[in-house]
Amino acid sequence: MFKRLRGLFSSDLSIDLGTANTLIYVRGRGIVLDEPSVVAIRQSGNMRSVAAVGTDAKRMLGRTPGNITAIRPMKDGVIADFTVTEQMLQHFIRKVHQSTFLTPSPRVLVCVPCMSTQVERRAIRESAEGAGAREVFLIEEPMAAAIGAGLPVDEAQGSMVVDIGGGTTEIAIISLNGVVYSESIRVGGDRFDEAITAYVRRHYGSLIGEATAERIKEEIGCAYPGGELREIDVRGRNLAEGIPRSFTLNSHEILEALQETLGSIVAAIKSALEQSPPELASDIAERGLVLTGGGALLRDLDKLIAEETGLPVIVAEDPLTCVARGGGKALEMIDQHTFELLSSD
Amino acid sequence: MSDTQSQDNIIDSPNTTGSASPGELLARQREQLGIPLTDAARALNLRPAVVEGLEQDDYQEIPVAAYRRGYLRSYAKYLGMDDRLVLEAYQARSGGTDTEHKVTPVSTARPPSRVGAWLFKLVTLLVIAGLIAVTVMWWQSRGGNEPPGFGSTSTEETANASAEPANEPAEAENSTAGSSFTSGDENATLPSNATNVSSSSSVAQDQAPSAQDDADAVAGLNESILDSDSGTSSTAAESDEANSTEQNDSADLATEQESNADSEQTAAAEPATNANVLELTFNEQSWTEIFDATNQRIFVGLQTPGTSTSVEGEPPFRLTVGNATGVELRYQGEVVDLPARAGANNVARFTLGE
Repeated sequence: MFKRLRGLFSSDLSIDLGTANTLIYVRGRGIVLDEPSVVAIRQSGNMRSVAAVGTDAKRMLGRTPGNITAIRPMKDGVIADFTVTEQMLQHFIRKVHQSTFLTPSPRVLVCVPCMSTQVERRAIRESAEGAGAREVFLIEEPMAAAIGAGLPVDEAQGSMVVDIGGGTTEIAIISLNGVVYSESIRVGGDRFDEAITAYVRRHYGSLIGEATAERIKEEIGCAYPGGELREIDVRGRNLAEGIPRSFTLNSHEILEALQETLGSIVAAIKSALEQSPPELASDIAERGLVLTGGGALLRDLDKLIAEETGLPVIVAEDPLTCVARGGGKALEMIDQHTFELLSSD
Repeated sequence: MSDTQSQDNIIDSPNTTGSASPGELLARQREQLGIPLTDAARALNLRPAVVEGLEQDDYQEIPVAAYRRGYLRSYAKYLGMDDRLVLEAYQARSGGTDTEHKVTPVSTARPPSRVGAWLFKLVTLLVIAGLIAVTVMWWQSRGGNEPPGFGSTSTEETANASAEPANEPAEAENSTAGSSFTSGDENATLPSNATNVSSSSSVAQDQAPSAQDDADAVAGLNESILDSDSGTSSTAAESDEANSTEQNDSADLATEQESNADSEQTAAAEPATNANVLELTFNEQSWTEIFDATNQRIFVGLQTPGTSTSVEGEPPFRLTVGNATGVELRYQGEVVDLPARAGANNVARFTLGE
C-alpha cells in the first residue's frame, strides 16, 4: 500500500541496464540519465559503502587506493554483483526523481539480453525491485532497440537489428511484435578494449588501462580499411623497463587489433541470416539491417558488415540511446494492453 | 580527398542548401564526383531504383521512415557529404512528420537527499498516531452505544474522571451530615431532657440505683430510647442524675448509644430519603448515564459487572442504561423493569419519577 502511494509521485521508467552505460528514459520526459555502469565501493573495516556512482565512479576506475574499489557490477549484459547493481539502480532511480520528499517507487521496464537465462532475468528483476520499483517489466534488448530505431516491428515484415553493446552483441530478426530468431554473443565494446590492450602489450610491450583503451577505440578505432589514417599519442607502462612510456598508435594498427572481435560479430550476423526463414530473409535483403548500440559508432563498421553480407546496412540515429528510447515507447504501450512484447518471467 | 572539396562546395553555395531537396543535394554531389548511379547503388547494396528514388525525392520504394532516413545518411556518407545537411533538407521537406522527438540528457546534479524520506516517515507516523487516538476516543465515547457529539467527548471524559472523586466527598458529606444531624438531635433533645429531668427528677432518682446496677436494664432502656425521644430523655436524665462515680460509665454508654443511634439513625434516615435514590446493580458491563431534574449529570460511566451503586438526586431522572438486560434498577424500593424499556439495541432511555 505504501509503495502504491509513493507510486503516485513517481514516473514510469525504462532502464537500459547495460554493461557499459545505464540509461534511464522517463515517461513523458525522455532520456534523463546516461551514466557509466560503474560503482565505487569504499571499504572501511567490515563496512562497505558506496563512494560514487556513474561518471564520478568511472573517473576512479583503475585509479583507486586500497580501500576503494571501482567496479562494474554488470558483466556480459548480466548482473555480476547483485547488491552493487541494486545500489546503483537505487541511486539512479532517486537521481531521476527531482522530488526528494518521497522515496520514489516507479514502474520500471528493464531491458535484458535475449539469451539471458531465467536466473539472470530473475536477478535483474529482483535487483530492480530491491531498488524500489513498484512493478518490473522485462523486455528483450533487440526488441527495444528495434522499437527505438523506429523499425516497423508490428508489421508482417522481417526487420533485422544488430545491437552492439558493451558486453554483448544481440542479433535479432523481428516480425509481428515477436522475435523470430535471436542470437546473443558475449562480444561487445569491452572486447574491443581488451583486444586493443592485448595488441598494445604484444606489440609495444606496454600496459594500458581500460580507460585508455576505450579512448583509443573512440578516437582512432575503425572497422574497415581505406579510410583516412589517424593517429593518437598514448602513455602506458613499459613492461620491460617498468617506467611509463609514450608511444603513437594509428588506425591501421587498431583495425588489426580488432580483426578477431569484428570477425566474430560478422560471423554471428551471417549465421543469423542463414537461420532466418526465406521470406524474412528476402525482406531483410531488400531493406537491410540496422545497427544500434555503442558499438555501431565504431567507424566504418556498417561498411564492413555491408561488404561482408552484401546487404544495406544502416546505423540507427543516436544508436547509444536506441534501447532506452525503445523501452520508453514500449512503456507507453503497456497501458494500451495491446502489447505482448514484455516477458513476464 | 573529395571530402573537404565537397563540403566547401556546399558551404560556398548556401542557396543550394537552403532550398534544395535532399535528392537534389545527393544527385548534384554524385554528378560532381562522377560516380555512376549503378556504382553508388552497388556500394550501398541497394537496388538502383531505390537510389534513383532517393535522388528524385520519391520514396515509394521505401515506406518506412526509419529506413528512409538511414539510406539518406548512408548515401550522404558514401558521397562524402555531411549527412546532417541532407537530413535537415529531408526534414524540411517532409515537414517533420516522421521526426523522432530527440531528448538530450538532463543533468540532475543534485544528490539524492535522505531528509525527505525521513520527513515523510515522520509525517506518516504522526498521521497514523493521530488516527489511532481519534479511533480510541471514538470507541470510548461509543462504549454505551450512544455516540455523543464530537465536541462533548472531551468534556465527558473529564466529567467522568471528576465524577469519581466527587462521589466520595458527597458520601463523606452525607456521613458527616448524618453525624451532625444525630449530634444536633442529641443537642436538641438534651435541653428538653433537662426539662424532663427537672420535672421527673424524683422518679429518676428513685429508679436510678436499681437501674444503674442492672446493666441489662440499661441495655433494655437503651433499646427503648431508640423507639422514643421520651425514653432517651429519661435515660439521659438517669445518667445525668447518676452518681459521679458512675458518670464515666454512663458517659461511655451515652457515646455507645450515640454511635448506635448514629448507625441506626442513618439506616433509619434512608427510608426517609429513599424517595430520590436509584439503586443500580450491574450484572453485566453497562454504560449508564443519569441526569436529574436540574439537568445535572449525577452519574455517568462504564460500569464493570458485579458492582452496585446508589444514586441520589432530584426527580425526575432521565436515564440512559446500556446493556439494559444486565442491569437491575430499584427506584423507591421498587424494581424497575429495564428490559421492557430497552430499545432494539438493548439500550433503555427513559425518565423516572415524573
